[in-house]
Amino acid sequence: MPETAIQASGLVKSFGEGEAKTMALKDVGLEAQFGEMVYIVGPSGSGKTTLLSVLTGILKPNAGRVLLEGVDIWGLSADQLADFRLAKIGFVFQDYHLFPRLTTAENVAIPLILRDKDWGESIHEAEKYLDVVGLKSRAELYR
Amino acid sequence: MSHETVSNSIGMPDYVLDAVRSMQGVKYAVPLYSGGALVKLADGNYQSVTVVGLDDTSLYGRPELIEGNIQDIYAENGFILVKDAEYSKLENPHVGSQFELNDHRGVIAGIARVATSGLYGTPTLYTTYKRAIQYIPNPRFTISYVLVEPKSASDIPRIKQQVEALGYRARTKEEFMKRTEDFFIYETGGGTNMLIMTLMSFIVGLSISGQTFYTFILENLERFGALKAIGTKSRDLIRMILFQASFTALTGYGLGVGLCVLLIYLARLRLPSYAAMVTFDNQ
Repeated sequence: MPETAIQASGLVKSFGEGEAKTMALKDVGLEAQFGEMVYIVGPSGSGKTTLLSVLTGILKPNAGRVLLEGVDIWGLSADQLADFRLAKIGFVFQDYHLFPRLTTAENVAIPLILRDKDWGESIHEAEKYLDVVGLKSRAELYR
Repeated sequence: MSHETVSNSIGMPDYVLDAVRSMQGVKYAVPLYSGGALVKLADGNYQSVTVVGLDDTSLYGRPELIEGNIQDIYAENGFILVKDAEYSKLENPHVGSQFELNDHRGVIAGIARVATSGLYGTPTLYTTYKRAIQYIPNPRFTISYVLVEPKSASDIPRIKQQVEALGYRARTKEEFMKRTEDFFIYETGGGTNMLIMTLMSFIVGLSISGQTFYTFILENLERFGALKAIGTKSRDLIRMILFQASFTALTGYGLGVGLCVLLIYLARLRLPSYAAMVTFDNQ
């Protein structure tokens, strides 16, 4: 496994056309190693969310390359990218985007269920990690 | 064979029957009477009925009986009543029940099964040809149809030709059924009305359900996005939506049909002659 977890270079991302065109990212590069904790900070509107979206395979850049564990994610097909995200990337959304009709444990277990893991096993594993973060008591609760 | 009308028959003179019997390829031919009459019910009300008169000798064209003996049609004033959707209009008679038909006494000698119910919403009575023309006031010519049995299937075209030369038309059973079907679908308002109603219901239903699902997708766009981000493939999301749509459609269909059945059932409790019925198979 390569030591470099994330390697991004020459990232360009714009929105809109003509006079309404907004340059969200202009020749942005980033490198992060395994075991490293990276904070991306900046004022509102500076492109933080756009950068994260590009790095995690959600938003396709206009130019540039993103290598995650050595894999050029923007060279993958849509299905391959979805599988890659499911297997390698974890998300905590700004607005949470939880499913109100699912319990806490079920929300946490979604990626496992998407990987066709047994429902009971997925919930059990989710509860284990909720316990790690001190939220086991909320496992059966709804949002 | 008959004159070319579907909803009514025009009587043919007796010589037509004789002519058909003498045609090449005809094994035998019998007359059939079909006409309307009024039955006086026990409460003094009158009910229209269709009377079919079968050839006295052969009873060719007789229905299948579920009660009684077909030979009892020869008994004095014997009639066979068809048990269809209109049966109850004669106050649910049984074998032996008596009634009055055009001031003549009639006795139910048997109850018959029928392939499909009649088209005119009236009960159907079978009797002998001679009794039918005796009991019911008629025009001069009383043969509504001539039922023909060919010697072989290959004789059918020749028989048709000979009948047409007489100025009439001959149809096989299948052709007669098709002609009747086409008449009611294409030459009356019935088929067009049903088509328009079906189309309108479909368009309205599709619009409402389409709008409902569109709104549902919009409201859940964020969650679909979250699932996509986590790693759900587009086709899985589409499968989820299709499953929901199918489940909702089937449930709605079931509820709709069930409600319709319930309403028809309730309507028929109140109005026995309500023009709708529920069948669970093709009977």
